[in-house]
Amino acid sequence: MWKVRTAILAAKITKWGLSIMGRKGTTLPGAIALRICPNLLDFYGNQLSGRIAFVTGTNGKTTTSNLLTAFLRADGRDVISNSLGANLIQGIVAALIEGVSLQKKQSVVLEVDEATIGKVVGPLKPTVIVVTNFFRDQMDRYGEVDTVVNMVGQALQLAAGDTTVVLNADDPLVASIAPAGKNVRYFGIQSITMQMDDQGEVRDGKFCRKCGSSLQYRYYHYGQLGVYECPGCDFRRPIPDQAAEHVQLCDDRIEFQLDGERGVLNSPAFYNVYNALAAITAAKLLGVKPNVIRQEMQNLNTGLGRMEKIVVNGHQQVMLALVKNPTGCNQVLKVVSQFSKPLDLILILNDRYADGTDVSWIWDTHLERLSEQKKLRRIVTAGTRAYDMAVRCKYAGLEALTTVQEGDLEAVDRALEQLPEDHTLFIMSTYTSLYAVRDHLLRKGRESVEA
Amino acid sequence: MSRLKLKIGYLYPDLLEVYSDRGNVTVLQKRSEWRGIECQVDRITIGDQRDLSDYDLLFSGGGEDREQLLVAEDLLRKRESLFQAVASGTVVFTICGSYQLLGHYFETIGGKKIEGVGLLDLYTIGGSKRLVGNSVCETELVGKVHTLVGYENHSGRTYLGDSTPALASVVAGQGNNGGDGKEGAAKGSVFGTYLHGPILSKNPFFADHLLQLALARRTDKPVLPLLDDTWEMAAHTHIVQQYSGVSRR
Repeated sequence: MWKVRTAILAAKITKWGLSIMGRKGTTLPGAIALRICPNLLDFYGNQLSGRIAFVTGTNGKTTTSNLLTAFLRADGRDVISNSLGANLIQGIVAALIEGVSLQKKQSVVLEVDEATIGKVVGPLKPTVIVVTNFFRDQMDRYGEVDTVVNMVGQALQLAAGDTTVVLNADDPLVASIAPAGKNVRYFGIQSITMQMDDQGEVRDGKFCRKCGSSLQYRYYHYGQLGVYECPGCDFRRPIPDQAAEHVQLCDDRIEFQLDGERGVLNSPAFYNVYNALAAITAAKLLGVKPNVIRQEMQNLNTGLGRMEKIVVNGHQQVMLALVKNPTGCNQVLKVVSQFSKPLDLILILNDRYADGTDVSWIWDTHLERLSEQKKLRRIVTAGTRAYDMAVRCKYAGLEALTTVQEGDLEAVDRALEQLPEDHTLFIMSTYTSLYAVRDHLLRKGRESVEA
Repeated sequence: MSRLKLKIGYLYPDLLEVYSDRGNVTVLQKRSEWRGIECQVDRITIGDQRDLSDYDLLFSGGGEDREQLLVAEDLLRKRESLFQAVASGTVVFTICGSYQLLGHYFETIGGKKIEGVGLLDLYTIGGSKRLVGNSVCETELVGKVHTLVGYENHSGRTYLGDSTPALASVVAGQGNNGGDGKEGAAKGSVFGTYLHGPILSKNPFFADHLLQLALARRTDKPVLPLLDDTWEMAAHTHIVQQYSGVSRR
């Protein structure tokens, strides 16, 4: 026990030290604590037994975790989470050290990196594990999609018998790792009341992971997500326990029906329906009261930088979206291309470690689609790979609209200065600039309110 | 005078598409069209029986293991057509997974041997550690030295036979096998490389070199007017400065 105490103390001192230097300290305190006490997670697993939920997968980890946290809080629970997205083992430990109090009864929602889940599933013994989806992402780190799918699949096998696994029925890669003999719940989309077009989308998992046959689809929702079955074996889309119906995009929000209840998302990005379904399924499993779920569903807030609307200088509309892989980016591009009001666009592309150091993926995005968006006035590219992005725009037929601006915040400032009345500014950014840009926008929002 | 036309055969676009190599086809197509050259791209995949000599340029990209295996079997069936195409002057441009299949074989880390078509004298052995990162190389095209930049991500180690020249020599990065400083292979009109990026988007002179070779099948003196490559070269130079500390074209 002294090791646990020393580790926690050392982490807290580190965190305090970092805060004096003006840093957030989302991982270093955890790294130090683990050095002192390598099995610190066992301690937390016992403390928090029966109240931990994990969220993993390629896209939607943060949004799903935030939505689930909101459900639990609305239910009156004290919730700890790594809401800033520090989802490797050090970040998870840091979040626990910061949040866990021995005097209180707390629930924990953790988004967990796909390569980390195998290390934390044993000691923390989660009650619920949610797997959102698998897409090609950051292959500089993990090599192939298959590798990632297998890593998470093995972690699910390691989970204890009373863990419930919540899987995306519409993603064949996710459905393929349903662990035998464990409690499994599925969520999926049953019907859509809007036009979907996804020609040429990147599709991972076209082949049955059981027998290798080409999967047959009744329809696609996006990427490889849809209603599928294998002609070669018994693998097919499981019937979802939680199925969304009449999904409908309404300009700046999405509406859907779930078990006869109405759900409203504050973000027009289609993939967030899946994140909402995942969170609702997990919330029900964690015992959130039905009336709380009904109430919260009316106003689902997808959170920071996930197609988030921010008002700047009192009147300027800005939409901020994280983009980090082609599937997610194409979903955002779809919203941009169908946007009904005039707009300007900033594309920020970085290649730091957290962004993924390979920027090739931008060539798998459908920027070409924007050449048909008549309301798009201009595009500014920025970030460490601003010129790569500009080249991509040029080959997508957008050269005449595009300029390069080195320096992300400068690009945002210039764009806001030159933004015509009634125009919306869309900002799409990779991870490492997202929060800096968001903070910058919020500051401008606040200054204008104070002025 | 009829308009100059270029025919590109895009091999296995549905299977070998893992690192956005498809962007190379976009680049070739646009750089043709911007010069008034009509460019037709045909997608050719497993089971398609086409005379590959119909094409001025054949392209294919990289894939995951499962897809690469499927392609290997089909490529053997297309072997004769491929050799005839090369004999007729067709340019063959391959990246990563399909580059490996142009050699004699690819021996996986599990000891399984995947047979290649043997168009280039090389072989590949799987390694446990992936060779990943930005790469800067030097290549000599028509008597002039250029830097080539790209991003590599491969577990296979490729070794060239004596009769196969490398496409480039490594300045920064891993290259074919992380050992001998060679990157890719280039023999006559056949090219293979590990560089993604897509490579042609950041090395416009290399794109034009391939176009020039491909057009040589259509016309005696293919003339490619210069394009404004300011952004392309800014993206190129960014990598050169970041990873090799030298700036040279």
